[in-house]
Amino acid sequence: MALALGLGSIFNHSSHPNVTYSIDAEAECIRFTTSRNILEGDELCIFYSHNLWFEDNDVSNESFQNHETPISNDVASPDSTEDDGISTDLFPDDLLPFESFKYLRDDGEELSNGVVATVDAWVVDIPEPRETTTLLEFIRQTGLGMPDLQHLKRVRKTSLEEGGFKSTLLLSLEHPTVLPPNLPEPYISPVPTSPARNLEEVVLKSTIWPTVYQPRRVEKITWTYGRIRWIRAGIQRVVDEARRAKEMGEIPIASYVPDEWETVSGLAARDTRNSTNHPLRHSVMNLLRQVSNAQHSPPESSDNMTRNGQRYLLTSRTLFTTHEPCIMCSMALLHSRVKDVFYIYPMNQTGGCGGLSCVPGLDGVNHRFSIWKWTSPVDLKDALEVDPQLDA
Amino acid sequence: MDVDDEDAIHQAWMDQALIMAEEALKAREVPVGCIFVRDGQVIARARNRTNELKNATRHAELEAIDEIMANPILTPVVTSQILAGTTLYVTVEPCMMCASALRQVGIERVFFGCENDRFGGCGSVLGVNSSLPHPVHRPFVAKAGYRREEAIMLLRRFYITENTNAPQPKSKATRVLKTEIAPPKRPASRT
Repeated sequence: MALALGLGSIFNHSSHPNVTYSIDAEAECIRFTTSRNILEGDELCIFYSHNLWFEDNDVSNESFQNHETPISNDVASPDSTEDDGISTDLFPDDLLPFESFKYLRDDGEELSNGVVATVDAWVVDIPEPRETTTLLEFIRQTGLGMPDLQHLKRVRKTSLEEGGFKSTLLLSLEHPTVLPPNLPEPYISPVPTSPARNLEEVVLKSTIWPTVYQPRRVEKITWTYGRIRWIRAGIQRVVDEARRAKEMGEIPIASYVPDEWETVSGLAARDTRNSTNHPLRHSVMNLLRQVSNAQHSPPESSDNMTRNGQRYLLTSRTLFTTHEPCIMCSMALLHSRVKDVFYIYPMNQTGGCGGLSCVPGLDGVNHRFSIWKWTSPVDLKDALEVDPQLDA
Repeated sequence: MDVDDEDAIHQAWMDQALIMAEEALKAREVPVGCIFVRDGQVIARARNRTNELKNATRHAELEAIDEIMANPILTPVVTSQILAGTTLYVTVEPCMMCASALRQVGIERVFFGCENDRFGGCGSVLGVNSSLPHPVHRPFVAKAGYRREEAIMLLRRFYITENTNAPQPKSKATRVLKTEIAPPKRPASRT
């Protein structure tokens, strides 16, 4: 934990802050940004962390400020133990209010029968071995191919029959959008899809492309009370939004993406295909548009990062939604590189996250995200019911 | 009309989609372009705007659909099959997102240039256009291979020229644009 001095030390903590902050390493400063409209007399608060060293005043009158309707409690935990747990304590697995939708094998392993799972990547031969350092520096600066290729070494040396060797540089999974000049044309080469988990795999995978040795950590995902409460708040938020959508004559579907884990500020969107008379105005598509609009002018988005396409809308972010997204929305989330998707209602006939198909589990796609299905009771279930044949 | 004549007509339409892809290339976007044709007329032209809008979902097809939806002459009433009787010509196979969107608005049929092995939604990764069953939306036919080589060459030109972030060159060796194109991995036409 870091301690901000100067202006940063003046903000009080709130579990529902109206100010977010980000560290601008280049300018060596912390940038504070309001995350919603501030009314006269409002106190500006930030979120310190779930790991508080004092009694949280905010907890007793916890509410999402600026909500049009009073805070509801549709997804309140069935017993109080969840609410009382210390934020950093581990939450018992058998009480989790959601379950994972697994589309990979339990151990996440994609290697089977000695056959290495590969994906096509763009590579380029290095004509001048002396340039290798410069090229690696270019890769480091632009982040080209990251994080997709972080389990691979960037340069492969192949011995030539006539003596000496040839160096080949690994670029990216998609067509590289930026390249240093004076290189021959890139071409496609298969590379392993995951790191080498044991020494045998190091040998096997490195025959295809030099692969990083990364023994699997035996630890699995652990959930803390703080995290569970954050997830529950996210689920509550989409339920509230969907209910409001219904009140306004819309289909009761909504999505929400917190700015970052441990904050409750973020953007939410409802399904608006009724009011806009547009069949593709699903909540996820509306939300992605909102997120991109919000990112249009942020001071911290350095031009370099956006220009080479390495910065995606939802990188490392969690999306909450009431109904399992349709194929269109699931692929839109994959394009946006979302990390986790939580949904309440499965859509078995139309869903793209395990219902009709599982888009992030398909062969060929260049990004995986985790899918979590909310299993704890939600009141108002009928109110949020939609036609099972609808694309959510 | 025999098959060759028909193919010539589709290729002529595809040439117009390629013009849009060229425009995308000039705007430093991944060069994908499309046109929508209804009753022998182009009703919408669009190209990729993902970089400009910083939104990876603003593909040419969705841009065009929005344009058609916003035009009261083209879309006087919103029905379940807004794009019935409408044909899409697009230089690259629609991704799964766009294929799903096209099916949800009832597109009649799609002609495309080259396949998209990473996230193609008309058979390359998933047959969102027809083999994937949908309880409501009718399937549509998607045919590959119209001006395929031109579409691929545009993509190649994109990554060979786009080097704005590159460090300063040390020598002046020239990069060569390769022109051999491997045949498609799958049959050129599927429904």
